Amino acid sequence: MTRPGRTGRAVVSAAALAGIVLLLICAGCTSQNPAPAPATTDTAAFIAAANDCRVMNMTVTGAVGTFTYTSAPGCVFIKTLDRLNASEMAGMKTMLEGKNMTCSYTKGNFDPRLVTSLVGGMEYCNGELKDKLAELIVFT
Amino acid sequence: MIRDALGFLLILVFLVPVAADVPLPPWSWNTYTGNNTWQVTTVETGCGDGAVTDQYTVTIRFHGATATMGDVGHGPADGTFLSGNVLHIPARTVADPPGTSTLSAYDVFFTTDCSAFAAKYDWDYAGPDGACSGTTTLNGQNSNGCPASQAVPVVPSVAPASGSAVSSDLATARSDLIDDLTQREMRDITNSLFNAHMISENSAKNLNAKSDAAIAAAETKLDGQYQAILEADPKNFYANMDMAELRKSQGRLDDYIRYVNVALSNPDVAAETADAIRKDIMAKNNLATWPTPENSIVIATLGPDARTAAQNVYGMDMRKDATGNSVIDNLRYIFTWGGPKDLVTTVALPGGGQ
Repeated sequence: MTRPGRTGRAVVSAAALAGIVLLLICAGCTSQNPAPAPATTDTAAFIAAANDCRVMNMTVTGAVGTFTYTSAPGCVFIKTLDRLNASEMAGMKTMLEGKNMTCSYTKGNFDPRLVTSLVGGMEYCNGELKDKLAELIVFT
Repeated sequence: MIRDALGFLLILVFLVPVAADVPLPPWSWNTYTGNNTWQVTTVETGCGDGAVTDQYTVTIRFHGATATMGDVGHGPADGTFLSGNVLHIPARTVADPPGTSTLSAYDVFFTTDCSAFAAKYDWDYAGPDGACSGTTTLNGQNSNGCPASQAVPVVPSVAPASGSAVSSDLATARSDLIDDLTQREMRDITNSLFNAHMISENSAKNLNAKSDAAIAAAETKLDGQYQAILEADPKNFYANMDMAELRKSQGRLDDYIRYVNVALSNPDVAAETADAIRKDIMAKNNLATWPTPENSIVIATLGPDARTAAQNVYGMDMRKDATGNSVIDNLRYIFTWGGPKDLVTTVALPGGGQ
């Protein structure tokens, strides 16, 4: 990463001041650092938001582990397995933790199983989490 | 971010003449294992210094479904292929003395002729000397073309009429199939660009017309190729799985399931395939212990969950074809969700070959 040099920092400072002025003048202009997505712990609220293609985050911890669900603009859903249950074997943690799948759908047709089950609805998704979960069925 | 990625894809679509009139070479980076060297130009904007251009010679280490991008200024990065030629690099925070930089997730789009890739990500630097944000674009060039052609798969055949001929024909058909699936992928990308208002309706129509023509020609040929193979060896596992993938891509889901069922109709082949998948998972993930419902909550949950979810996959009840043989039924579910293409080309081939 190229960090600002001394000259650059002076420019940054000037730019920052100019930016503040611009922000005061133009409140509501597009920010380079958009506000974080709203979050919920209510599964029904998240499903409703996803079904409506609204931005929303939800993190849920269950028996398997902790999942983060993201409803992104454009009817895109991302399911991330953050952490497995502490008792899970190390190899499984390495295989699955931090992996995600991205799913596309049309407005009004979000499959709620994507947040209520491990694999339900993932036929319309892509990503390493989907691939790994599918493969692991061979052990069941 | 998605618009940025699509914008770069747009550049690739229009500037790299691989999708125009020349048939695409049968290449997908997510089926390749090996190292590949690229000349990468980075352009960094932000933080008040204007655009800063650097050049790097970078090795990308491909490991099938994953790859490690070499250092382009902020250390190597591990990624996962979202599709044959789209590598997803997750967001990460890197040391950037005296501070740290947070890099956004981004996708690396490779051209199917292996000559180029493009990517773009955002970053935020914070440290004792201040904070700023910017964007870095990556443009990779590779003058060596694709690595050696994809290896010919070893075909386990139940009763081959002519083993070597079937193997050779299947390798040719597989190559054409991957080419066809790449065209379908290009069409999906075009539609994504149009839906994101990145290209006009006319441009989308023109691009799709070319893809449609190529797909129509390829699939007429593919049907003939695979029919010939299946006439000689009706239960050939790979031919049936390839046909399943073709039908799935065409939206002919009943036929897709039918071919999967034929592929799995021989319990011996199914058992060998399942065993190969298990061994592959154990090896790839350094699993010291075979996961079972007794020692893994994931596995204990996954089995019942998969069988419940199988009631509705693509709107179909996958359980209606259940055989009661757990190996065969589990494989059907695996191929349904994982997709024959991914698994046949990366997992299920004997000996791990392609």
